[in-house]
Amino acid sequence: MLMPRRVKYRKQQRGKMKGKAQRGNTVAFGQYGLKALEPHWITSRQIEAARVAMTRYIRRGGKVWIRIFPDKPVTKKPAETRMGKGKGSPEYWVAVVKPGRILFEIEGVPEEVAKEAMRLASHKLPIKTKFVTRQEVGE
Amino acid sequence: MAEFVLKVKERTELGKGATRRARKEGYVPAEYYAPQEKNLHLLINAKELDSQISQMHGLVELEIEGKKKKVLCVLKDVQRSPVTEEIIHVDFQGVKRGKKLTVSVPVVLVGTAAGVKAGGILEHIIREVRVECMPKDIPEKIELDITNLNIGDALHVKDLKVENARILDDPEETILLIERSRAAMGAEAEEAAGEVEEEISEPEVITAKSQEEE
Repeated sequence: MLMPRRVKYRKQQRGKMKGKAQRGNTVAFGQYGLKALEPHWITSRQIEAARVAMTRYIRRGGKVWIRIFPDKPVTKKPAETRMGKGKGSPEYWVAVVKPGRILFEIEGVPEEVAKEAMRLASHKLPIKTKFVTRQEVGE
Repeated sequence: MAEFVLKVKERTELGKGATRRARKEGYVPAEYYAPQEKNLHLLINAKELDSQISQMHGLVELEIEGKKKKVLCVLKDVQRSPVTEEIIHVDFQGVKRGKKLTVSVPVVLVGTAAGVKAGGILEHIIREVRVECMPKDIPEKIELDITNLNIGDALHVKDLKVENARILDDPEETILLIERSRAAMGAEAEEAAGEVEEEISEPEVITAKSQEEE
């Protein structure tokens, strides 16, 4: 599963997810993409599940890009622990996703195949998504 | 090269509030600028712009409502909403006939590569190149024949041929390459890579290391 190799600090504060994605909001590598329509934390497990669903459907051929990376640690206190005694230990990793962010991209498959692969991937994610095609002037 | 004619209105009200009102009324705010000329603040019908923008390569002629003078320009920038992808603003750069200008031209692939038929994947890396030319010579697109490409082959910027124009991008940059597909490489290698990643349970903390050293 995806996670950073090195980090500066083990734990992070939660932060906010205000506004829309100002970067990473256009299809940059492939021909088709999956765009987030809601803000959410996407865990590394969800990203992996979506990737597996996509690659299994397209089988041979096609190339997949993952445009988000889970670089935010989420901590959790152990079960039945009294409050206090400091912040819990890191449990899993998430990617902070804002509306408009491109999550995955595909190239090298027909549009129908890409659409179905993205549909299967979107069922593994906790947010509403939209299938998008590369926006280009002149095509 | 065909010239697109676009009917526009001059915008008198400026600022955030006015542009938002204009967008609600079905217009897209636009700006025209050129060296040694005053900027023109414009409004364009959103539906008209949306239907035409896909073909708006090269020269565009702006017909300003209530003015006899027409302005020649190129589409410089398009801003879209990150979520809905509606056009929210457009920039036009003025052009003088007889003076060279720099524009981006799309690279269009022709045919199906032999390598793709054999199971490879076509990766199109550069889809637009910057070209310097006279306004009358702006190429609509640059076509690239890929039918003879096999797995492992690549095409570079130096392989592009354009008449009456000079390509400004680095000639050694790769435009496209035909890769071996995952099936050809074998899924085993990929799975193994995944296992190695799973073995790392916790990342290395940079600050902790420095504290130990102290």
